[in-house]
Amino acid sequence: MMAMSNKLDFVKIVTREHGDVFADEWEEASRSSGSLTEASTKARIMTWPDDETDQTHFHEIEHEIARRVYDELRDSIIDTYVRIANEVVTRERRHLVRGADAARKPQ
Amino acid sequence: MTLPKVEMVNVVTMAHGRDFAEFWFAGSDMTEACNKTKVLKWPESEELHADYLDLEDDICDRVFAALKDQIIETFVRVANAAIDAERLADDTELTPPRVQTVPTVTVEHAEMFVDDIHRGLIDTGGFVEAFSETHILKWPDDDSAAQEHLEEMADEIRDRLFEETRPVIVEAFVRIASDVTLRERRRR
Repeated sequence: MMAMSNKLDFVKIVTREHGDVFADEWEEASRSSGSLTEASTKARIMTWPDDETDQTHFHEIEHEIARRVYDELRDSIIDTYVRIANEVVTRERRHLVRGADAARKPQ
Repeated sequence: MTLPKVEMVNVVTMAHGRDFAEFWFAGSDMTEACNKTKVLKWPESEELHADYLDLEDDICDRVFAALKDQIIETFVRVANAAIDAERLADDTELTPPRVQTVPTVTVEHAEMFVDDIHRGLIDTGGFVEAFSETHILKWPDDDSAAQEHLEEMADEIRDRLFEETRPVIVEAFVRIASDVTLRERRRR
């Protein structure tokens, strides 16, 4: 269960630009950490070869799959992030307003 | 020159896709990205840090839940295409040359096949011809009403035969075509 904040600060509206940043940063973080290619390994669609040349080729295929998957998903990632972050921020703002109203009510 | 060989599954399935999506999401990459957007402002007060992190997790959990099916579907499609391309990459010395196939033969393929046969049997008159060869019904010469009635009976036999055999043919088509196309893709 998520704790509701009464003092957190948010942007007024989550925009497409925020979504772009999110998509770029998620891609960058996934590449730096290797999580995207590692996920492909964990799916076990290829067998790790013994031969070193084959291993290089294994990585090439893995990277290609990861790149193409991310490229295809990018627009959806942006749209989804903008929609959901706006929903969450709006919900939190309502909590803040309700909290403030309750505090103002005469006892 | 022959390309290096990497052993692969025959078909990338939804189960592979789910593993891919879940492992990808398991790390902290998405929350890092969410943090970089600065949609939420990092609170100075330490006691609000947990609230901030909870909210960030809430956004990321929901983004992942909304995207999960699409991630799975995209991975399955892209990985199958990459695997097929890989299989076809070193075909220069293969005799006879490999024939390209779809990654998976589906019920939709089979239904298309069966329906086309049915249409073809009607349009070309192939069914009537084959049926008359059986001599089950005797053609009534000089009696147009009886001829019309015979044709109706033949049509009924054709359509009922089609309805009854359709599921069997669909099942057999998927099984056999999958077997043959798989063997073709595996050929080295």
